[in-house]
Amino acid sequence: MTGDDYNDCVKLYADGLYRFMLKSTRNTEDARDLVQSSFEKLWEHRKEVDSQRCKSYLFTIAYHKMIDMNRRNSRMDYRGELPERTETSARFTPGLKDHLEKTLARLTEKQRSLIMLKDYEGYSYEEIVEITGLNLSQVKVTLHRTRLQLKEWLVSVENVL
Amino acid sequence: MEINRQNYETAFLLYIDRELDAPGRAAVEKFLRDHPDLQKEFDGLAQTVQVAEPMIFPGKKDLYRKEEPKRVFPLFRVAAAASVAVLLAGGWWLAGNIKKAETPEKISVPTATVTEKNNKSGDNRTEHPATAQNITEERKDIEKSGKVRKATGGALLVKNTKSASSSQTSMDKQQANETEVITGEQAETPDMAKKQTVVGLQDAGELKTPDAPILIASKPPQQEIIDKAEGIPPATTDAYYADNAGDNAISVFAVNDKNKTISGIFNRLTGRSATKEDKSRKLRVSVIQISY
Repeated sequence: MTGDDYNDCVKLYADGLYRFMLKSTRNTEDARDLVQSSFEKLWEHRKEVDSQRCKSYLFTIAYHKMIDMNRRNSRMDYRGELPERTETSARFTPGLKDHLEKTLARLTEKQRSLIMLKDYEGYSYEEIVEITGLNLSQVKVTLHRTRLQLKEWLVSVENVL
Repeated sequence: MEINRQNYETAFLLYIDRELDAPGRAAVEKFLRDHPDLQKEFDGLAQTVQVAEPMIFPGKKDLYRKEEPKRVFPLFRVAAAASVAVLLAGGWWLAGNIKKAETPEKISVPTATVTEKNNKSGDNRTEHPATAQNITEERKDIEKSGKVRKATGGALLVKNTKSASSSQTSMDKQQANETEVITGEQAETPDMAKKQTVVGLQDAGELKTPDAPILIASKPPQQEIIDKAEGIPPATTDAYYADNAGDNAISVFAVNDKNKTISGIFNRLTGRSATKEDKSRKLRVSVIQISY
């Protein structure tokens, strides 16, 4: 890709990547640093990257940078299971949308990343496999379990509301 | 995949994740129509789909980059660099030649024995004998040039590979490409050098005089003069003739009236005493302008 292609990538995907990073890390500074370093790497390797694959390249770089950062900060949750629902988590939910945000925050980072890659960016299972390095079965099972858990939380909140 | 009450949940999730093709989606929709009691469960799963909210990256403008233009090395710079390289190489070559000329090789072989071999080329040179008057005029002009002023005390024999007739008529502003001086073994004082006798180009007897001319540049010397000169090794005379093969070559060849090579030429040309290494080495003076 050329320098112009790179700038097109900035224009098209910087906001989405920032949203993905912000939702994943829940930290503005971390998300900003990850986006900047991801684009920095894209710029360095722009000649080897096909402009058609610029988005997946960016998200792949950003995702693995986030994993590395979380490992360094020991903030990664490797349980692979949904956290237990607590009473306080759903007690003061003003609305379904806000509650959805909160339930999203309760997911593990891997679950959250997969949900966002699927829903926000519209990636297929195969593309998520490519970005995250997980296998197809892991992606599929994790996404299905996460949705079932989210559904359970949302239903319970609706009952409360 | 046929959807039934055992696997509908997976089918719903695949539908929500947009992983089904058109027939698969149609199958799920038909299954929902056939089983309306599962519609609520389907809606509950559909609610888990996150809606992307618009977000703007605050540092977006800092991400834009401008590709640096490729450096184009201007052609004139290449030419200038090449010129400098050529000048340096030329200077180095000239410096090397001057240094080499300042350290004459020792000549120790007594008598040249190449008379017969060089007679063939000598025949051509003797077709146009030079007169003493012409030679003297040429000597004076060369003295005026001052470029070989140091050689005033020496007795020199000068050779020009051009024929005498052509040289006499067209020697105005002729550029002699090369003048060669072969020094002898012993350095001598200028006073001693004055006692040397000039051996002319054609006839050594014609130019015998205590006040030796400096340079005589007219035509090639007779082969016999060079060949009979003592103290010149055969290799030197070979090089001498080879060096003067060019049209504009002028060589200075020093012999005395006894046909012995004259030493001390280096001293007179360079203004310094010859070192041990300098003795008997060649001193070559290039590009001498001779005007008549």
